[in-house]
Amino acid sequence: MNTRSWFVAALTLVFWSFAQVALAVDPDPVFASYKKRLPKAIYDEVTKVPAQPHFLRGFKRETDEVRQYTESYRFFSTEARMGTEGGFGLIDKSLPGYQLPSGVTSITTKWQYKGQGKVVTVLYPNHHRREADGMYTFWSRKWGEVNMATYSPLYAKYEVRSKVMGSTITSEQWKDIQVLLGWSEFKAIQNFTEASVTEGLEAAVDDFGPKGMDLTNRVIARRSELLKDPDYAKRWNAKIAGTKMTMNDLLPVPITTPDYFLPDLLIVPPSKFIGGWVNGFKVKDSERVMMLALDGLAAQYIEGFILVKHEMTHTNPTLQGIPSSLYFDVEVYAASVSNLNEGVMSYLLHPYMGIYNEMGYAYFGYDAEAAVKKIFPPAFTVSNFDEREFRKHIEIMNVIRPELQDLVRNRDDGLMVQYYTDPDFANAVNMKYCDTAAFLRLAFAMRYKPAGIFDPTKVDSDGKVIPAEVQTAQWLDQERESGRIARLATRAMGATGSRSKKGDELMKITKAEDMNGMATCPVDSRLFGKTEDEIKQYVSILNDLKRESLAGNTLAELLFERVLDNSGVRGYLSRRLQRKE
Amino acid sequence: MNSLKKVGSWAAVLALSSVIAACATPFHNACLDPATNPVDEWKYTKVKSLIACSDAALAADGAPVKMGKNGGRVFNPSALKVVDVRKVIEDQLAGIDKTLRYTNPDLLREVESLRNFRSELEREEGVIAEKNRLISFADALGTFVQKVGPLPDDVMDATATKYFFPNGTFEQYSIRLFYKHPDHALDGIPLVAKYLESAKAEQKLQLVETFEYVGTQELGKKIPRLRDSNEYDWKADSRGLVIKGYKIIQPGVKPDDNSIHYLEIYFKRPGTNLVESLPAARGFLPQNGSNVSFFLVSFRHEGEYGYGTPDVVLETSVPIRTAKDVFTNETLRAKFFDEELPAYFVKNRPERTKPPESPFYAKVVPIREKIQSENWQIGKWTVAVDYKKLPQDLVVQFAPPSAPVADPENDPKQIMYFKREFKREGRRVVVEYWIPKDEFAAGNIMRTNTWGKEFEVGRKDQPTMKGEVGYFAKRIKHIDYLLGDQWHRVVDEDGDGVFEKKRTIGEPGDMETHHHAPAALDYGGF
Repeated sequence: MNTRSWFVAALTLVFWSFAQVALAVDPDPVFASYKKRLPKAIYDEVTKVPAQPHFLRGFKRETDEVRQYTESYRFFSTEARMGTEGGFGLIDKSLPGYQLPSGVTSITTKWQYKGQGKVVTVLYPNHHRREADGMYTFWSRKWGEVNMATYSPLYAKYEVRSKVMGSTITSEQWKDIQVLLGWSEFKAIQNFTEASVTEGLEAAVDDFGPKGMDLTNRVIARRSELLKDPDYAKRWNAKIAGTKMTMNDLLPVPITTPDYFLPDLLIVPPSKFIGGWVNGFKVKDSERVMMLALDGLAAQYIEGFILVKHEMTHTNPTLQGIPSSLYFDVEVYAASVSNLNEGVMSYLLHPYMGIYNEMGYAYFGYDAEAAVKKIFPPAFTVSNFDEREFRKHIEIMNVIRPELQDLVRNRDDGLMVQYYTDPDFANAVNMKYCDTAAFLRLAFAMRYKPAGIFDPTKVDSDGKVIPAEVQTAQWLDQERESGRIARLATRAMGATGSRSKKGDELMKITKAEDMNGMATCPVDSRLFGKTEDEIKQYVSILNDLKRESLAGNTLAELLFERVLDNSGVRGYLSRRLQRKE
Repeated sequence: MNSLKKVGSWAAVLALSSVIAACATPFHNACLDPATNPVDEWKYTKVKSLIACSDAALAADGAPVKMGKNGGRVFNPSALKVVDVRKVIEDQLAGIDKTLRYTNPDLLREVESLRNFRSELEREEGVIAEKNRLISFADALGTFVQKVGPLPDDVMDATATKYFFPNGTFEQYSIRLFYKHPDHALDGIPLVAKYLESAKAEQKLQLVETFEYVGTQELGKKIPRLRDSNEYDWKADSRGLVIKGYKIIQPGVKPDDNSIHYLEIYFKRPGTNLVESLPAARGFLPQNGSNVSFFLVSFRHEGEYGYGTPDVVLETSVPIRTAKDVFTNETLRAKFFDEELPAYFVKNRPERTKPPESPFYAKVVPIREKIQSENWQIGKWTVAVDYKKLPQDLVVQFAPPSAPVADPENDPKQIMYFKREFKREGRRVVVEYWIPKDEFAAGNIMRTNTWGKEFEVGRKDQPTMKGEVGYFAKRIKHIDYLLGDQWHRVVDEDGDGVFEKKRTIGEPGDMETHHHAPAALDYGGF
């Protein structure tokens, strides 16, 4: 199935319908008096909501992978149009719902998917409606307070008209026009946000739900067999006598209806950080907060990488609630559904694809590291991007993608259905191998014969080049026969779970004095493979984050907290932060 | 830098975070390291090491895989041991408990910042605790069979046994362990020993000993206060129990000795003399053993969900000859009765009870202002410990001189108190403060000494006199006593023989803080 074209179609449809709605109805009852004060033609023109938010004008959803890359490159090279690095916002959670403290003018809206179900509060922390004159403004540290009316192509036209001698537009009317133009510009951002969330939500529901993996039904069906209970489908959520529990508590079934993917609070800052964030601490009915940066949504719009779907995989407590989520790699699992849909660039460069890169190299012979070097050869002063080489890799990805998608999504033996059928088993496997990705690694290894070894100069007696899978099998058989693989397995299992030097080194860098030298399984094998250079890079980014946090960038602070999670490191560093060192 | 690389780097930061939380080595890296090491056996290239380590994971001892239909392998849950899964469930419980405690301020802020998180996680804790009970039961079955011997045939043949353990062994994990099947109950599988069942059938199992204990320990448990761990409360611990010892002998035959072959420990229901209906612990003979040393222990009391199922198995190394050994032997008693329960069994633990919020305040108290800092409880008080028969030291405490004296050795002094200090195991536990009679309260004391239970007092220009405290002192003013780790003071202000005030105090000062006669004179003793 060509998922990409489906997404594009969906997105276009959503935009179209928003535009129609905006034209057809009064923008807001608040504006009734404005309507009276302005000539109809002017009122209609300035309240027409643009189809795109101002920062995306001139961009479209790209289907060609090269264009996806170059257009997002263009977007982020000119990201000044986004305005700010900020993510400021004040909220008073001592009050019910999500109310703002007195005098705070950030815009909040309520949103429901298709107007029903869970009500999501959406907070636009940097977008405001000014108390004094009702103007819609955008706050940034770079430019200060910007009147959003100025984003409108109509602004210049009415500004000139209001200033010429004998103008028919009074200064009062000019103010009204600015308010309405600002509203239209904000509305375009709101529509864009809601359309992006809708796109992500529908993608998530489709992937995990009956149209895709059909997790709920498949897990029930598989369990029914394992439990030898043909009536399990009737009993999976039954109350357990003598307790307040249900069967679903003991053996949870993933639920994939929209409400489970939606957060209670959605924060939409402009932000430099091209991505989203979700609170990791969650259980079934606890609060869920999601952050989606507008520039992350812009990347989704241009490239088609469904950022929102990725975050929604995290948000769904029946997919990634604690305590189970602590025993598998939540990022790789989310990325297994989101990134594996995407282009080769995502496969090659996104760190969440690290395990697939390794396994893909061992089993398919596709060396991601070498591919990146080939696509981006060294060059002076500019980044060198080899388009023809890149297109070759798009073709390779077209071979790999359906395989990996099937590995993850197959309704009978895909990673997801297997994991959620018996999460306690899968978690114990990860614990045994002390690796949050062990279950995934094994699932991969059981599915394919390795074909990672290939020497194009090796020929058989007929002079034909020996295929990779044969060369690999010959080598591996030899290694098995000599007992070397068995010895390696014993050696590795013996060292599994022991304190590691690399972990210690990482902790030294982050000065985690209060970890008590505890070694806890399972850990993240994807990151243990990092080189010294990569660790250095990581620390330097961490320092940047810290600096920005100290400078008062709340988003940086948020990320900083997320990065350091709830480990002792976080406590240590956040204490340091509070001291404003 | 291109945008996607930028996404990568930020995401890498997020991803790396999880590595910091732990420093244990995953199998994958424990394999790659030797595989690529140029001085080790393998010396593989990168791709070869990846292939080999992937293959090694499948070949590792206990790998959870088996051959599938098409020649490939599939996951095999029963390759995992019950104990492997139990470890995860226990880890989850510990993690949840850590998250829910009020003792880690950083974590607490995070937990409290999310609505419903605490209550929902507490609920989840109950769920995981039930999973733990089930998997512990399965684990106990396996250990029981291994240590005590096979279960009776009818138990092995029961459909429930076959349902939950389809492979005929109790060691292998199955998802069914967590399923409440309408027709089979895991915890309905009777945990009975074959040797006992056959002895019962032949009427050879005789109750030979019953040991009963009822006691209340005033200071049973020390409970630190959350806000300041240097402060604590004491909680009384009352327990009543019955221990029954059984012996396998021919009916009517006189046994050679009183050693037992099976024992049961029953708790009494709190506040009553009634015994709970099921034993809290059962002790068995291990295979090839002659002393009871294998125990199934349940932490649950009658009326609680899951009552009667074992929560842990215990093995003892101290030989148990008679039933009451379990209580009278210090090591065994500590193991059975004084061990801390696993956290999730203890309701209302202080670290899980929300401390009352500290109010913010700003109170300005000028230095000249007098404050009453003593917090007396008014009533009729007695010393809460029995001390009269304890060994005692005698001490004379002098009043501080009102002005510096030129020759402290020879200057007459004033007696403030005659003190009797009672000691238990070398430590002061009670101090009595006696007020001197008027004739000894004048500032004319030249010499004092103590001999056994008697004081010697020499006034200026008077012969030295000798006698017990009542000879020199008219009455007790106050008594300090130690209860648990806390000192208390009771005071008889008006001399009517009733201690009308009480408060807690710090440890009474030793003699260094007072002006007193030289140590050699002050301290008598035995």
